[in-house]
Amino acid sequence: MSNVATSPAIELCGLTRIFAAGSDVVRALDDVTFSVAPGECVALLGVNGAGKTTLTKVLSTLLLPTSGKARIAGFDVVEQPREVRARLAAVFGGERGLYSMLTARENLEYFGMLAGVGRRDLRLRVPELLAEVGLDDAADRRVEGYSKGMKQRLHIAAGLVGDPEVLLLDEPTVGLDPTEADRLRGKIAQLVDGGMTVLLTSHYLLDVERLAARVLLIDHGRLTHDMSLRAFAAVAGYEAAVIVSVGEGAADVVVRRAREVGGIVVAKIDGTDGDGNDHVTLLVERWQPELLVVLGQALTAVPVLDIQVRAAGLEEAFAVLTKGQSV
Amino acid sequence: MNGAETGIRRPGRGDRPEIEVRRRRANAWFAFWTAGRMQFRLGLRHSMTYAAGVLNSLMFLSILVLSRREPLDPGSTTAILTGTALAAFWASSVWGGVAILRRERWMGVFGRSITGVQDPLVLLTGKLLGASVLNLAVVVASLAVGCLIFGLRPAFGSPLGALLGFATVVLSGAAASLLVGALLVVSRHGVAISNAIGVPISLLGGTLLPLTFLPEPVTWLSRLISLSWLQDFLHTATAGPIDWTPLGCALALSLAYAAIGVFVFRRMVDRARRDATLDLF
Repeated sequence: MSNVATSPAIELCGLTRIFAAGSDVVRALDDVTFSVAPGECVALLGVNGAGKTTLTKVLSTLLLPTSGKARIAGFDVVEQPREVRARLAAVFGGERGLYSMLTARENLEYFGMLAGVGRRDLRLRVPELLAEVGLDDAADRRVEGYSKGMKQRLHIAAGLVGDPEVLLLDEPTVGLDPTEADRLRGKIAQLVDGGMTVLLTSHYLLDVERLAARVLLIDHGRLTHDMSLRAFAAVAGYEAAVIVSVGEGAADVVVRRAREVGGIVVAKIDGTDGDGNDHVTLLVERWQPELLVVLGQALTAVPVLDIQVRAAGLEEAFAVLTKGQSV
Repeated sequence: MNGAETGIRRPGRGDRPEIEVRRRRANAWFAFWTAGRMQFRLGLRHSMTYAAGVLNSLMFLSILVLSRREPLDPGSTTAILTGTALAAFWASSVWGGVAILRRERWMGVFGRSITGVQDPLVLLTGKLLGASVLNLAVVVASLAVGCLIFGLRPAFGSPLGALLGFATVVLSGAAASLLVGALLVVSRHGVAISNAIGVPISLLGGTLLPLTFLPEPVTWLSRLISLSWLQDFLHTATAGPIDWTPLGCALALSLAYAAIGVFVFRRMVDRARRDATLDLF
């Protein structure tokens, strides 16, 4: 019987993983400690090579940690891998990880068996899942003929076939069109609402914004931030960005006058477009519609062509926290 | 390990009560059967199954039959057919078995197999046996067509003995695949090595040339290959009187292959988890 009722769904304590190749030693994970409560959806963010995939591999019992502890529903990934595997599914997506010469139905039957689902349950579960991910019409076609998005949906179905308690999702919406991506986000939200614990790794911060309540930031193998989504979004230091397009040579005037308006924390020239128009970005600390009026007065007699306002997003917060390293 | 269930509790939220999720555990027979059936299906759709099974069988048979001037008696026909079947089966099954592991790794599904609830060895054994059964079926069907083409009439002194012999061929093929596959899957040069040792093993196994053609100093090596014993057993099973000793030797060797294969496979998986030596996704 599971001891999940009293344990965090995911629990890491001083987790370290070192890769050594000759004289090169890489600390892919360095003393990482955090826990995720049952039914929580947490986003794991970091630039490429930060250690996200290594962490997911350790949790899914594919890789042993060098030191420290990792537990799933109270079960240790090193000492009790069978118990961990019975409770966790990892979805890595991409072109690989499926039997391309089998159909979607055959793939799901096989992966269901791997996850410990019995024959009778599979007969009910597989058609249900195929319909849920929108592959029921293509269920008996070989996967080699599938589009990237269809393969992604099959990966998700393969992860869900065992009805896991903890789901590790790596880039779940990669390759999906906006409608499909939105549908999938809805499905994941439904699972979280149903009590499933989700650790989400994604470069699409829209996924994070829609699904996660908490954000973990990992950098060079170290956990640098553990905060609520709201706190994460506020890290950018401003609430809105106003992009002003003006005629050639007027950018300097806009920057000078904007700096005299209270509440604008940054005013910078973005550059000139092909038509010779200049673009200036003004970052607003606290957005109020009145600010636009004040700004309009300040820009009197400046040849303004266009003004766009957009709310500060997670991208900005991510860029601030990772100091502009590429995602 | 028979479908024992445990309950998993999911927390309640708002008005929704706590949910108990049913979960089944490892079921070795179901895993073995599903893996075998899956590999059988994959084999049916793979062109190499036919390239190796059909072409090798008919090619070996043509070489042996067409090069003879005198008509073949039923005893010689049967000896040629069993030898050809063994050579073709070994070529397609053992090296095909090696390919199963390599293909799983290449397709990125190997990681799933070793992190599932089921024992990866049970899965692998099911897959290897599924592939072996299919390969033998293709070889036997091809040879049946060859018999019709060349007008050959085999005679089996002991049909039961022959059947037992071929069942052992399947088991031995799967055991050898497990051993060779587990040894070669971690090597970057696995394909090159398996190609390089293919012909020497067939020679030592006595399927390409009679064992009496081998130089004296290497004949003992052929006795480490179950194929040579199976060849002897099938010869007595078809020509009579039946001699069970070669069958016992073949079974003992197959068990040894399987035991070493299991040891190497477990070591390979442990090493992969510890040293990240396999690109498992």
